[in-house]
Amino acid sequence: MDSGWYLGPVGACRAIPAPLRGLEVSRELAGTVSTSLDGARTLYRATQPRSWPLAWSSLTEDDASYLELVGLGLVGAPLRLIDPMCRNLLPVQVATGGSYRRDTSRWATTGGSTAGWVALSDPPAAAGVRGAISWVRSTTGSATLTISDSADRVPLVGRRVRFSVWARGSAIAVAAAVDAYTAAGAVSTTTGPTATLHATDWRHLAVEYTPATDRVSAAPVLTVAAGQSASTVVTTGWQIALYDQPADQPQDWTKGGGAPEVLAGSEQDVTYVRWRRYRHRLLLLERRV
Amino acid sequence: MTDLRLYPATNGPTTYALAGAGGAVVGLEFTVTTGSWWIKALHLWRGSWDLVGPVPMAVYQVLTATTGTLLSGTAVDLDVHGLGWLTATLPTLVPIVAGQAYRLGAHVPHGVNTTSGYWSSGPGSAGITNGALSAPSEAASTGGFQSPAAPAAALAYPSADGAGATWWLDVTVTDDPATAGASPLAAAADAADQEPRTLVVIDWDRSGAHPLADVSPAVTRLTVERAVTGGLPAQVSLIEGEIAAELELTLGGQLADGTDTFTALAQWQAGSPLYLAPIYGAPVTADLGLATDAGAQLERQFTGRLRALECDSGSRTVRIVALDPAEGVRAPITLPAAGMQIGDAIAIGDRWAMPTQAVIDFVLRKNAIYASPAPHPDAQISATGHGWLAAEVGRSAVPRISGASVPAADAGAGWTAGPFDMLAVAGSWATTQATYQEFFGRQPHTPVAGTGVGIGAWVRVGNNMGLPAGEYRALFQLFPLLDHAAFRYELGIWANGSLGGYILANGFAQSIATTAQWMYIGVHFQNMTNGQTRIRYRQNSTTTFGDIATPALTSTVAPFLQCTAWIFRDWSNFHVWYDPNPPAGAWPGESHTPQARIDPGYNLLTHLPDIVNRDSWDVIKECAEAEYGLVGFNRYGVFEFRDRTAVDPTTVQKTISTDRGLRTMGTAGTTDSVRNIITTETTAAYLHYPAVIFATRDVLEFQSPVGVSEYLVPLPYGAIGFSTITLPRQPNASWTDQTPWGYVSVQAAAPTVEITSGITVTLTMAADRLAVLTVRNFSDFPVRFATTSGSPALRAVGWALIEEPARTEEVRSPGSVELYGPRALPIPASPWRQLTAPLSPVAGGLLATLSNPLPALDEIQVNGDPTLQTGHTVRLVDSGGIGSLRGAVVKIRRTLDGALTDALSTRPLAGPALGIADDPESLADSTMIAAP
Repeated sequence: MDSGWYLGPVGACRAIPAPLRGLEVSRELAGTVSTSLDGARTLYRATQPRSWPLAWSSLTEDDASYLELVGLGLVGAPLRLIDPMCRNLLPVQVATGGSYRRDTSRWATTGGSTAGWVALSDPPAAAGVRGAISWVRSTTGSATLTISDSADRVPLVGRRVRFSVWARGSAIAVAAAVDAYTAAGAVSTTTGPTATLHATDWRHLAVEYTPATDRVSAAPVLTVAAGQSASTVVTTGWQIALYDQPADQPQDWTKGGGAPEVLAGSEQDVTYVRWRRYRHRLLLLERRV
Repeated sequence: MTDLRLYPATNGPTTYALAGAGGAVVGLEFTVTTGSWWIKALHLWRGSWDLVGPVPMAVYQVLTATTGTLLSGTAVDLDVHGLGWLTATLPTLVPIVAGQAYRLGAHVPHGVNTTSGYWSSGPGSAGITNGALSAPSEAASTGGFQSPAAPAAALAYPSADGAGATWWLDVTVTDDPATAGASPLAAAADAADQEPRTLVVIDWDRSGAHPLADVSPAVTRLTVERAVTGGLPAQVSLIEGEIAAELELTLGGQLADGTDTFTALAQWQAGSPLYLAPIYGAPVTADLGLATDAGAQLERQFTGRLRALECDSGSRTVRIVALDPAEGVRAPITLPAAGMQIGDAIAIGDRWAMPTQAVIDFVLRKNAIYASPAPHPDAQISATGHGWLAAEVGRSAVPRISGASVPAADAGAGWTAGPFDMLAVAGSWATTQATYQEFFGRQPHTPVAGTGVGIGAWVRVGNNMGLPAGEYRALFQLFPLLDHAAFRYELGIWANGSLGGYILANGFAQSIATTAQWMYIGVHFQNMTNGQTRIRYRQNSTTTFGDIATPALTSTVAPFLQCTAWIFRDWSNFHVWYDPNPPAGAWPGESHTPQARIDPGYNLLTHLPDIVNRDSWDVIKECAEAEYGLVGFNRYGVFEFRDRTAVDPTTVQKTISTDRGLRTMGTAGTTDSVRNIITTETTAAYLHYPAVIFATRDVLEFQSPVGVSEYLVPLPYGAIGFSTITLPRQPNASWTDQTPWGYVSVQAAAPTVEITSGITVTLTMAADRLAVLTVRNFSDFPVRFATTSGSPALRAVGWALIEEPARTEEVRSPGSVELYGPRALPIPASPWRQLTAPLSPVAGGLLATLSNPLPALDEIQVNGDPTLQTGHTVRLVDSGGIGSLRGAVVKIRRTLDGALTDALSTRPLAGPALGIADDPESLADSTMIAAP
């Protein structure tokens, strides 16, 4: 059984051994804290990317070789890490309904709809973030709300995934869907059951998808079929999680960031601990949150 | 939160109603029907340039139709600039009570845009309502009238029936007192948790669409510095000087599309998308902002041009420096010869003295920055009238101003507020007034078939000018032939408001449908092959025409088209162009979006200094500094010249306290700052006539053979000659040192023998400072211009600029002299400081500020606020430390480098007794600010 850790380019993510316990994943503040004359503090935060100082005590030569190739930049970029300690594989900006940057960057719409970010005083209890995407459909045509950046697609590693989302709005039928991509970019869509939204109560929509063998990545989609009246849908709390084992049952929303793009190689070292066994240290840097 | 206006999407008209002398108070009654509301801003519609300031506004609580009480905190001055809805934002929100009637009042000094019958029978006859905000109908208003109006010299409760007309006032009310006062961005700048955002766009190929234009993702460090650098000591509260801005960026990493920044911008290698491209000077903008609960909000900080790009291979970073657009204002400037005649100055004072606006506008136009419309590309003559009568294109003669005949009623300044927020020539209809300005075109004009001439100008005319019936005045006359009686194009105006377009006395009148206001008028004369001339009129954006027979040419074509521009009506932006065809569509100069904001300024010039091929920006700086104005490009890249009263230091834009953003602060006071004697030195100069503007220096100069000889004669600075003058021959016996003009002619071979006939000598102005001397020698001898005794003898008469003695004045503070000893601050002499009167208020204000020692504030480090700009007033609260001080910001160095930091330099605002101590009750020392 694999450890749940994967590392590699999309389409070629490789299961890697679990690193040593006690891993400190630190978030570095891009920004600073300033202190006024009487001590009041102001926090300036551009972003807070993570770093993973991964370490293994006894790797086989195969694993050690792969990790060293990664560290040398000889494995195709961009690299993606799947961190099993972080359930939600979507980036934070998507998972939080745009609340990370308080804008619609990394979001895209089709079907003549537009998106904006709004502050929320009553987010879904299970996804208590400061705001949501306000998705305006000005016509009755079909429309989708999804991610704009192909680099934000979740890498598929052959395991079933489940996409879930919180939404509310005027009473129209909405569905969660997953767009699955091949390495060549061909796409197929799996749409979940529709649910009718409510103006004030949050509805939880979900869809499960079992990857076909040629599918390498997946994008979350909120979709409205044609014929639904023009409306505004407010949505937040997006999540794509691996969902193939009974132990993974809890599917509550979490913050996101489980499949970041990482940079490797700024620090690594290898210690020969005994015959054909390697102690290995590799620092992974999150490229962007 | 909700903001409401009566007219969120409705524009007013261009129709203009004139107020009487002293102006009028106009009003609007409004109420909120339910809920808790606060007044946020007051508005007035400006549909035509005739509506001028100052316009004080206030809100009154209605007691009865004729009595009301002023709502405290609502009295504001409207910034009358540009067309459209004007806004005066209240310093703080003022609460109002639901169900209570309020009247918004405004004092308009000249007039207001209006729609008659609006409330009684028009769109407002059932009232105007937007949510909880409403303005009742005529009948439902207090006293049975909405929108009051009455002549008044100052703002007061609007209490007189306005007869159902509307004056297009509006109000913004808000239901959210917490956030509505400040923008979401300003609120976010005070939050403890901040997420800075930046947008930097470099338009590499000036296309507006370069794929690498947005470099924001690669910015690792950004510094914008905007500073006001003036000529006064740091303790003076006046904000004056030159505004300069610089942007410095460090770029690294990747752009949004994944392009490596360093390899893209290292433009000397072939892989760069900018390989060898001419990127220097490319437009650069920088915005800074913060994430707010209304999304990311950015505020423009800088607009300028790329000056330097440095690549560093070691760190793989790119450093970029950009400067504000002043960098591009570098055209060489030669000022025209212009000055007031001494006779006019003595008779009518400074009526035609030239304000700062005239010079600054002239320099900007030479750099293709147009506050008012550019002249026709093939203009022969152009005169803006923005505070002078000098020609922008072509050449102007000496202004012919008959001071004694100016009627008392018209004896004010020669300039009035005109279109595009620029000065215009103030006209007077009175028959005794004979003020005009002559111009000369660049080229001659022969009025034959296949040619055409156009005249365009902004003129204040209309069908209700209140003038004696039947009277007519020429406005602009063109003389293409030497004999002015033989041919003349003319654009004139009848007292009833009809335009007249004539050739000699033949032509048509075209009535104007609108009331008197600023409008573009034009006429085009098209000389056709059928012996007819088609006269086209342009007014109210429509063109009409009629044909007349073209007169025969009975005189020689003049070397330059001559023009007389009469000053019977207010006018500006006058130009004449040659084009055989009439303009298609809009006429040249008819519409324009101002590209600069140029205040009139307080300085007055009797003459233009001797400026030849000087750098544009130097001229602008010196000219502005002479009156301690504020000059530069604002953060949107728009040029501004503001007079020294434009910055209002009494409104505190931001409070920065030690428990939030204030990082460090220090003060320093020394006796060095004390100045108790302020001296000024000014030198005026006036044109004098008659004066010798040119004299031969040697007997051999201009010695001419038989035939026609021409000589180019440079004239000294300030000298203006007649357009063409024939010099009279003087008998040798009567030639003296005092003879102002003429010549003595002797035989070159026998210089004791006079030539008494056959010689004509003319002097013709060819350009500013250049004349042509033509000798037509049809005597039988080569001629020499000398007396028989061998003295040079050829002189021309004209106007010469003669300096008055320098005038020095001083103001002193005896108490301070007693205490600290005499300490002088001279306001130095400058070619731009010519009259004492404009400087006196400055001297007085300086004395009030400097006669006691004032501490200067060190550079202050505070948390960055993208909304804070130079010219704003900040309150710095160091409770328990230095105390609470106020300063006007003269320099901001804003850095985004992890943190968003502002380093502020401020000028102290002097309270009457406490130096810079913050004293809201008695605010700033206003002697400096209220000047002049």
